[in-house]
Amino acid sequence: MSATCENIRDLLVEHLAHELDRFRASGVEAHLAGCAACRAEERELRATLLLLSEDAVPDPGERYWDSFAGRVRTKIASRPEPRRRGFTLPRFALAASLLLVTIVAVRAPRITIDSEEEDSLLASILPLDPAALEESIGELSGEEGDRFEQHLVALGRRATPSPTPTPAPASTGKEKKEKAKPAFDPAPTQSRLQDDLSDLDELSPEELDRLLEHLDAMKT
Amino acid sequence: MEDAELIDRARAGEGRAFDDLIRLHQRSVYGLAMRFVRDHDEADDIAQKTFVRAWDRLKEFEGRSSLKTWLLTICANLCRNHHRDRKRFVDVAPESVEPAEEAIGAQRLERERRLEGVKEAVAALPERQRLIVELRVYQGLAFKEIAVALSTSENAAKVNFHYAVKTLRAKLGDAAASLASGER
Repeated sequence: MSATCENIRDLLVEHLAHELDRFRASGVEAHLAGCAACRAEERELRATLLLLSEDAVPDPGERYWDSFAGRVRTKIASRPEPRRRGFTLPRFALAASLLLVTIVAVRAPRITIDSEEEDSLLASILPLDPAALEESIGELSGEEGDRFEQHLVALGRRATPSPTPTPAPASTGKEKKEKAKPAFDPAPTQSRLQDDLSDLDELSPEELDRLLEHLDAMKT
Repeated sequence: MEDAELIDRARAGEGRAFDDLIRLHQRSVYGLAMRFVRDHDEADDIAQKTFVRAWDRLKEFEGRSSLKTWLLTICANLCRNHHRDRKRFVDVAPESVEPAEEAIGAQRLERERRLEGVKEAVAALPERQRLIVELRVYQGLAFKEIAVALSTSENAAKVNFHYAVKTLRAKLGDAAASLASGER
């Protein structure tokens, strides 16, 4: 079998299925006209397709076809209702909760400290002398002093304070200074400080400014 | 009435339009299912499921293929699932050949035997080739439509069909050769 015959035979099925373009179809026909072997091959393939088409499906009859659509409709009507996508009560509740959380998150006052401010704070706090630190706390108001104490605990500059049994009726920062001095960690690790600095986010901008002013004043 | 108009009306909830669509395509769908499962009751079940699924998904029909191709795609997928569920193709029991008159008996017997060989040869094809033969020979789909129906390329559909016909010719050798010589 020549290379041409091989190429033509590869096209015979498509030719018989009328799927070749006019140019290739005429090439196949020209070859078949002069090649008995390929003609025989084409005849057998044609006969195969003819055999296939002889295999007709038995017709179930007109009565079957007449009732078919009705049976499909009955089947559609009798099956369980497909689940609809939409807002059911739990979905609505979930969506409402998410919306509420988003609104609160967006509208809540936030203080952001950029890395420069964090560095400035760290540089201010780390070299402070413990006595100077205590003095600066004494200058704060009672509430400010309490909050600053909490931040120092968080920063590792204070041990966790033990709960006081009877709080003083009018506590001031100076009174705090006279209380038992908490243990002081002289070398808090940088990473711990970095981790704990996130607590400074809780300060209001005014508190943060005052804290920085105090720390600057102490350094000088 | 055109498919497109019936589809629009059926989408709008007009049951009568969907009935008309069913009537237009019920034979094609049933024919594909019947060839696949070779059992009337099972073919009927698959054909009904095809139209139920079509009703559910009518809004998703984008018109990238003809409605017939879309329905045959649904049907072919159901046939495949059926095949996987059953893990076998249904062997076709030879149809009983009624005793015929002497004059036509031999000829008829010969034809029955030949058809039996065709069914067995087609059933032995790989699933993809078999579907392509069904869609091409019995449903008359173009290879472009077959490609859409089976999520393949047009060229792959042609190549598969080519190999399927060559395999069938090899299996049906004598029958095809005798039919071919009779044609000469």
